[in-house]
Amino acid sequence: MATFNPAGAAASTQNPNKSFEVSPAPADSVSSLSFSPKANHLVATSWDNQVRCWEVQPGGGCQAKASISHDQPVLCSAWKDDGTTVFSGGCDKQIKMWPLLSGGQPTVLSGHEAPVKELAWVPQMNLLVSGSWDKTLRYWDIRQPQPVHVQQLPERCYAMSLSFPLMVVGTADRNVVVFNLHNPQTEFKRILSPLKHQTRCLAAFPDQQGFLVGSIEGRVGVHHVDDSQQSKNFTFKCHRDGNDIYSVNSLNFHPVHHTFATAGSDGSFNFWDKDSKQRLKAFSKCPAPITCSTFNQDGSIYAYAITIQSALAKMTGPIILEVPHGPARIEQFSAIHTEAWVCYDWSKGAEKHNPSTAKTNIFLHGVQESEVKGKPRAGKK
Amino acid sequence: MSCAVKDQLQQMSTTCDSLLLELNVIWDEVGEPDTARDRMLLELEQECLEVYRRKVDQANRCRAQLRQAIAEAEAELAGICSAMGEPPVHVRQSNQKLQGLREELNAIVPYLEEMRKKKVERWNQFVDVIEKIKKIAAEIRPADFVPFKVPVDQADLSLRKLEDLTNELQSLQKEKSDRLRQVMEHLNTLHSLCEVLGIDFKQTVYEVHPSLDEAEGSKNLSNSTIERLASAVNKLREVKVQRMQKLQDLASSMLELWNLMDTPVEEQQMFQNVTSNIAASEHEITEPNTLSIDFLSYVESEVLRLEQLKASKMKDLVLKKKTELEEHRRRAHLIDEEGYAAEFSAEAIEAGLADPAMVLEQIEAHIATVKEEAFSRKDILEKVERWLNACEEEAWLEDYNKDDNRYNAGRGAHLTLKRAEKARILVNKIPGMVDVLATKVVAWEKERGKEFTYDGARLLSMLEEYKIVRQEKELEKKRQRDQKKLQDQLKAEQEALYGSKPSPSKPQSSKKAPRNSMGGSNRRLSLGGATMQPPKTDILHSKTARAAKKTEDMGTLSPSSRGLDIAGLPIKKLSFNTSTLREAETPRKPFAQIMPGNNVPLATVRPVANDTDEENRTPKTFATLNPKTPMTVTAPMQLAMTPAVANKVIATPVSLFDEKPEPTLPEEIEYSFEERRLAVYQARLMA
Repeated sequence: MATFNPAGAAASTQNPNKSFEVSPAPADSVSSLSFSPKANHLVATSWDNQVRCWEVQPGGGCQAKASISHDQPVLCSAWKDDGTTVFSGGCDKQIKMWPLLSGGQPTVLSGHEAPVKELAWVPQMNLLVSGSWDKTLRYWDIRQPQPVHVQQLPERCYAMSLSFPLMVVGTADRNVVVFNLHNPQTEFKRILSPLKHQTRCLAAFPDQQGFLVGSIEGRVGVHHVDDSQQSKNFTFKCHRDGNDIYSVNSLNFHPVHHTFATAGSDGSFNFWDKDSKQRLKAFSKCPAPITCSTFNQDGSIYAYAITIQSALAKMTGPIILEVPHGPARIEQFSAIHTEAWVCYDWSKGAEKHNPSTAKTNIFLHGVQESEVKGKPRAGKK
Repeated sequence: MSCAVKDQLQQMSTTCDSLLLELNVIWDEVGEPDTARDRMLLELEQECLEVYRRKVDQANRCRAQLRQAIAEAEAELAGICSAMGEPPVHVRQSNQKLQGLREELNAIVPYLEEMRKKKVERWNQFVDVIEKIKKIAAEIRPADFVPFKVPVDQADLSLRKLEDLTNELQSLQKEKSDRLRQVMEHLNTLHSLCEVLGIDFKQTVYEVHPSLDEAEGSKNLSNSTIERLASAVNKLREVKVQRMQKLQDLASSMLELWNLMDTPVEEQQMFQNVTSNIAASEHEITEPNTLSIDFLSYVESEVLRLEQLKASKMKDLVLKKKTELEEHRRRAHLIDEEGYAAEFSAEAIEAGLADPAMVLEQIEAHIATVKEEAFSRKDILEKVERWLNACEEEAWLEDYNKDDNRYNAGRGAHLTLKRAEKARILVNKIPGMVDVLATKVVAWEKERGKEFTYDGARLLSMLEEYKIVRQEKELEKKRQRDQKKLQDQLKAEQEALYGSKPSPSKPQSSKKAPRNSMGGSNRRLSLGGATMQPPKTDILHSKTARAAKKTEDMGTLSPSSRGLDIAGLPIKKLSFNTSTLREAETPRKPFAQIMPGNNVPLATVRPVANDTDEENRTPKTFATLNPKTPMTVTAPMQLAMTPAVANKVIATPVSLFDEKPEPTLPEEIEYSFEERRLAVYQARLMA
């Protein structure tokens, strides 16, 4: 297991957890991170249209290996199970297949009618699944440029997670569509998210019994697919700071211990155990939102990405609104901590986001077994 | 005479003399009388003479025979020579010195033998040539043909004759090879024709002449055979031309149908060999089976299929055009001429009563007239639309005014306030609108000489009706005002008496019948009644807020989640005072924060959507939203609500409404961080 001891890394404010820094970092926010299932190869897609690959050395060093670019920002990535090929999709509506281990050039699958938000490789079916804002899922046999199946979704795809044969897809309007990939052409179940706010991320249980769903309102739902297990469902709050509420941006199950990590716009990430309903470890807050995160294949590395917006106007405090043409009366609204909602870097107003002043970092955290191993709950039993 | 013979004769004459002497002696002795002696001697003389005469005759006969033999031989020799065309040989003349006839004969005989042999050889040559001539003639001439005008016999065996015959043989041979070539040509043509037409070649040839079918052996090459072959070729060629024309007709109709129906190339490929021949001339079509009956019927069936398809498509087109016509009528709020619909019925087309093309044309004509009419009505219709919308607002305002809770600071209340403000302004304008509309309609009716109908009803009467209703309402309002005044007075009196105010009665606003949908032609019908509808709550905000609060409360109360919260110590529970609740209640709003800074002009943003040609509505949202949101310092708060308004605009299908405020609470379209960022990204790209 790779143990990181970043002795050289100073505990700067930007890196309070003394994680290892991946360099060179992308020029703009990272939209997805994924580790090869065969080796410690990390791929990051980012808003500067790049797909980059690094090799993580056992000592913690990183070596940039290769990169390709899309015409527009890249939103998602996925590895083939044999670790030879990376798929990436983004705002150019294309899906690129990059046989990077053989050093080949990327080829384009025909793509979607709107940006591609999610990708997943299904080794059991030898198919690639892509989810897009065009309200479809498409299944790709990578030997042919046309999709083998197009599955209609109720809304734009926002999140997707796979644990064969369970696949959960989150869309706008809080729909969560559950698929049994033994029969991918029919929805197994369609439910409304147990959370009351927009679905941000999903993670299917490793035992395929259910899924985690994270919303933009600092809350994670633990949901079981089977109706008989509905009593085990619950939701919990996280990524909040006093009255400030932040989005949950990433949910990742640990590949070995089946505990999970959440990362949020408040800049922190936590490890949890859903079975004992405990938080296993809380980490120090980074000064900027964590946009995405992932574990490597053996769970020894937790990678996460932040983007620090240097010049950022914080807008907090009560504001009184005067209705211009209203009756002779002023409606007073209570204070809304706008910061709670604008925490995500560019969502502070994407037009204020300036990639040239923003600094993006990808950090690697060496995972200790004690941090991720589930413990039986003290009070119980 | 030789000496020996002379000697013999001399000896004989001596013996005769001696014998005579002997006889004389004998006679003397015997004493024969002289007479006897004389008689005896005479007898002897006579006998001797007879013997001589016999011998001479014999010799004479022998000589004559020899002479004849010689003459015969000479004659035969001369005959042979003349037949062979050789100069006659005169053996006698050439051998003058020959003596005796026998020698002469012996000289002639070898000559004769030689000539006989020569003649036999020559004859054999003749026979050979004649045989050949006869054989060829039998092949190339009709059966009753006699090969030789002059019968050939042995009378003329001259070399010239032989040469003549040989020449004849050669010419016949040449003719035969010519004919053979001709026949072969015909057969080849026939073969290719048969192949193209898909006919059995062997059978065809057998019918022309049985001998032609045989691969080996002599073929009948007579004129009649050749003629029959030629006629067979011609016949097949005619068939081929006919079929070719048919195929080309089919191909052209096929092409036409493809063109009409945009048949995919893969489907066309199957008939590539048909269409490629469309302009080919007869001799260019050589591919086997291209013109066989099977293939023709195959192509024909495809054309039939395409035609059926075309017919069904035509029907679809007619239906589509019909709906288009309906749509045009609906949009122009024209309802009349119900009768025309039957005319275009699909059943009529199916039954063959109407030609789809004709029907299509008629519908097109109808569409054109409807469009024209719609254009002339457009101005008025727009005004009607505005009036109807104003009426809706009026109805809403009335409901709103009845809601006693309307000033409560709930979520979105400022919007309702704004709407109410605008509605009031609008309502004041209605009488003017109605008047303008009425004059316009009157002018239109005068110009056109017919009534202006709106969804079947006369617009003028609608306007009148509205005026009456409005008057009634005003009266009613006045009455209510009076009554209220009365109540207030009563209240004041009571207050004076008891010193307390009665609690304001709860507005009966919570659960009301759902509002009639106002879309489409329905609107007219609901127009009059709208104002009469019971008051209802329009502040969905507060309602949902209440509902949300309830669920939120339950959520925090659920034991499991509480457990988790307790376990995760640093996570503070939200205290649910009203302000934080509202804060939690409006999760998506703040993303609209983009607004204040987003001063990208409308014109530049629109193309993004067009350019990318996608359903990404985000940029449009911002674009349409932009002009409506005043850029003020107070933006962040205001933003909380803006996306809703923006989304509403998106959700509103008719662009006519753009200039009109529609401040009903919309159903929100949510957008993720990425979608919002992409919108800005693209707007920036365009800028």
